[in-house]
Amino acid sequence: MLEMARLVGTPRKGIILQTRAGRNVENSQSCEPDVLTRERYDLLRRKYYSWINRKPACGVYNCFGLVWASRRTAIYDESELSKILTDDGYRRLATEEQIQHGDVILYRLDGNTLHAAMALELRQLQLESSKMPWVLSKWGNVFGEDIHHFLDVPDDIRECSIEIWTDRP
Amino acid sequence: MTLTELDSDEIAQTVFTLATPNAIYAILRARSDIAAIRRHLFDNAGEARRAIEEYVRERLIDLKPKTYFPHEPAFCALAVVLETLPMPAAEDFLSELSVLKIAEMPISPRVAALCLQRRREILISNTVAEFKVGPIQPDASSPRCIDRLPMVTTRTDIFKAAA
Repeated sequence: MLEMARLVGTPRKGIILQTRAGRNVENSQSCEPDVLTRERYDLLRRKYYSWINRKPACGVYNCFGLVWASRRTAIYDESELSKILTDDGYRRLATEEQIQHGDVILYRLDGNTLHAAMALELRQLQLESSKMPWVLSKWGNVFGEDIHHFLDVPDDIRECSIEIWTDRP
Repeated sequence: MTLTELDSDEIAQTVFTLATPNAIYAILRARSDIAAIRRHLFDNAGEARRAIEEYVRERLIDLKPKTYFPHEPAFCALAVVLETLPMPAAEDFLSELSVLKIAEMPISPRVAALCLQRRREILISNTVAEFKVGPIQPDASSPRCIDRLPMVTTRTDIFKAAA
């Protein structure tokens, strides 16, 4: 049924990526998106008009690749994320601690990590309200990068629990 | 309700905004439209193979080397639809997709592998349940008797329940 895909497709390509402890992190680079996928990204962006676009739809990396692999590749497996968090000295931020630039926000549901974003800045939306984090996200492996309020996320991610992780001591 | 429903922008948005195959699989499984399409295929089993093959073939025409495959969200969704269907076509699609390692389709083979894993787990647990029988001789002192017959469950019933 998928014989044609095997014949036409090109082999997956990963790069050497390791944790601080030297353990290999499985990864693969995604191809650049086609016209239809780019249009779908534009359609999504129209729904979230407060997002600030940083980069149009692109391949190669996903949100985990943005956060932990400097936009060089995509990481897909849950087990690889645990490996990175452990080996790279990440810890969950305590409730009383203030989030800072560079901290990582994980959107999780029933043990699955749906998305990761990096905290960019703290913004005060109203005069008496507290400062809220704005984050940088790369959506999937072929959509673009956007800066947005950390709760202003696509519908599937909205019901998640949010964990903030940091590598600060 | 036809397979073309899998081409929807909503399904594409789910696949394109979530990062891990596990998350995509979990969210797609919870969608009512996926369940409805599965039911439709189950009820029209006679035409299912032709419909699946035609759907896959028509989309693969758009597969271009070194460009992301635009129908990957639909293939992820199709894998989830077929996960519990007792059809050779479902098994063929999931088996073939799960071993596909091409750069143009990085997510759907991983989703298919999860579907295949669960499909096999269901089959194994149901097979065990199928052959579970009550004690033939519960008490050595009592006369030999079969107090109840094991319930007969066909494989179709199992998949019907799972679907």
